[in-house]
Amino acid sequence: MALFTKSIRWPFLVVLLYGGGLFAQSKPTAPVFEVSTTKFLLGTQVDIIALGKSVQAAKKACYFAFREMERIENTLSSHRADSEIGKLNASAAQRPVRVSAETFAILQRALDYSRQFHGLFDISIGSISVLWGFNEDGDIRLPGPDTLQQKLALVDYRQIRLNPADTTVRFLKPGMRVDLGGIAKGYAIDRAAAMLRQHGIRQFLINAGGDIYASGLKADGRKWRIGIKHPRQLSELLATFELTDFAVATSGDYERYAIIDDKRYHHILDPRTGYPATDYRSVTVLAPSAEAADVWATYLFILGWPQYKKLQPSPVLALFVDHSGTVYYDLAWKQKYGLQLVE
Amino acid sequence: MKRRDFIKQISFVTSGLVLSNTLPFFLRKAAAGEAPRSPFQLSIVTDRPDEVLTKLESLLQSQVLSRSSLKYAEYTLPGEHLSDMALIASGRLINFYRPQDDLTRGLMEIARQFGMPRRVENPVLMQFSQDTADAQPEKLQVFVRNQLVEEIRFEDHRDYFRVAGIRGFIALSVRQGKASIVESSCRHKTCMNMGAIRRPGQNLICIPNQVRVVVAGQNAAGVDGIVY
Repeated sequence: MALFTKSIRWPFLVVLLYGGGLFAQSKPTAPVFEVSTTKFLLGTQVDIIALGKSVQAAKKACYFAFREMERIENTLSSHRADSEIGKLNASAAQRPVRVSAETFAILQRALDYSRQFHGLFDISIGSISVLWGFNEDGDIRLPGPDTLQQKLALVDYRQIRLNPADTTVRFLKPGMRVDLGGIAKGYAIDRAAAMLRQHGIRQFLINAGGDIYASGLKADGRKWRIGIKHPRQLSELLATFELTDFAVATSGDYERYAIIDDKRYHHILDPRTGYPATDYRSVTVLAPSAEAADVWATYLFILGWPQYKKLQPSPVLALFVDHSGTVYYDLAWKQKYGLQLVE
Repeated sequence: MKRRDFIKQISFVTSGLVLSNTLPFFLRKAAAGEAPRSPFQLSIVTDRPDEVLTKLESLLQSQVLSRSSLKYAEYTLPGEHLSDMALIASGRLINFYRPQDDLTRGLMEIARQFGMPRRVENPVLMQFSQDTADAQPEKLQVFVRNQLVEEIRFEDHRDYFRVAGIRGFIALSVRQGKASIVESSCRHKTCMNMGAIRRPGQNLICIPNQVRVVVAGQNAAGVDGIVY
């Protein structure tokens, strides 16, 4: 299910991003129940706050939202042998593998992003991420340079062939693996948001392991207030801002990592080298959809602030913290969404 | 467990009140016939949550929601507990078994209908509360899956508090108003990399063990979510 076609995506996002703040003004809302629910899903903790006149209706909507996320996890997880992606990784190098229309569509969008980002976002990173062990509950390990170089040859999104006529997928190189870790969580959040709306909930916040989508206003009529975690002082906030009908996601080096021989190795791998990108501690992205925020955060973490500024006008807003702790951000974020750095 | 013990437990769960001081006051207020005032907190422990919620929702819609929004959350409590209700208004316990108004009359009716107080196994704790300006962290709540298994006061000092998870364990340190995970049986140790938490709403999470440690209380930083 394509949220945006490639041809209209950027201008449409830019209009939403820069116009969104103008239209989302605070206004009083009638008293409601604010129902909080939590579930372990997508390899993380997912919290949903749903507002409504009925607790039971809000609980029911959350149930369907969680169920949708669980369904997506079961379909798109790369470390489940029985998922569509698991089956793809097992067999698509030998023969074309048919997938559902939904999985085909997300693969199409992922490859669109890869082309758009010149391979800095690449779902064929799967063969490398398996080597590091970041996506399993096993030890994180430093791969040997020879093995890494050998597997790096398999990281090339152009070697994935999609056939829309029969929704089949084929890998052109034996040993290729796809990993939708950089896009699936965002997509699952967007689908959960759609499910909540379908069940009559318009005011809600979904927080899936730090990737957030906020809809409507809070019970007090104000926008949702979001904190950005400080990438080194982990009990502190780096900044706060206001959010409504938008998503935000961070790529950071400070949670999923291991210290090996006094060096920090984290989970955001540069598809060009197979090693973690090291120039930034965190990149936070504000975007109209959680999928876009998720993908752009991963991409910009590798691209860096100077190159990002050359993309202007950008379809997203971004805040970077570089390796020395210096913070860079789009002024529009401050102007439109009240971004405030915490002193 | 007697009703007084239930109220002590629930009072800690909902507001951290020191019951030894509050309870006589509550009795005096109840006898004086004062109606509940904001902030409002209602806790119910029941093994029939859906049925109780059906009855309770319309009562709260008419008696409380007409004036103010209410937060709602529910957790499973493992083991044997007393099924009962506790109503706190303006920081005081209200004895709804001696009803003074439509709300307390409605609560008493629901309590009687569901045979409260009585002992039940693995009930659900349902909590309704009004937002308040109080910005203090109250306590740590420890969940395994979505079961509330432990509560720790923030003023307590624990150097090594072990919590059994679904695959192994984590160990918490609670010192000087901060909590962190100091040991975990999981492989990646992501939970140990999460640093210390001290603000209401902050979490420590160990995914392999499905352990979640939450700072309970109103949201001091004024944020509704943290992106990381």
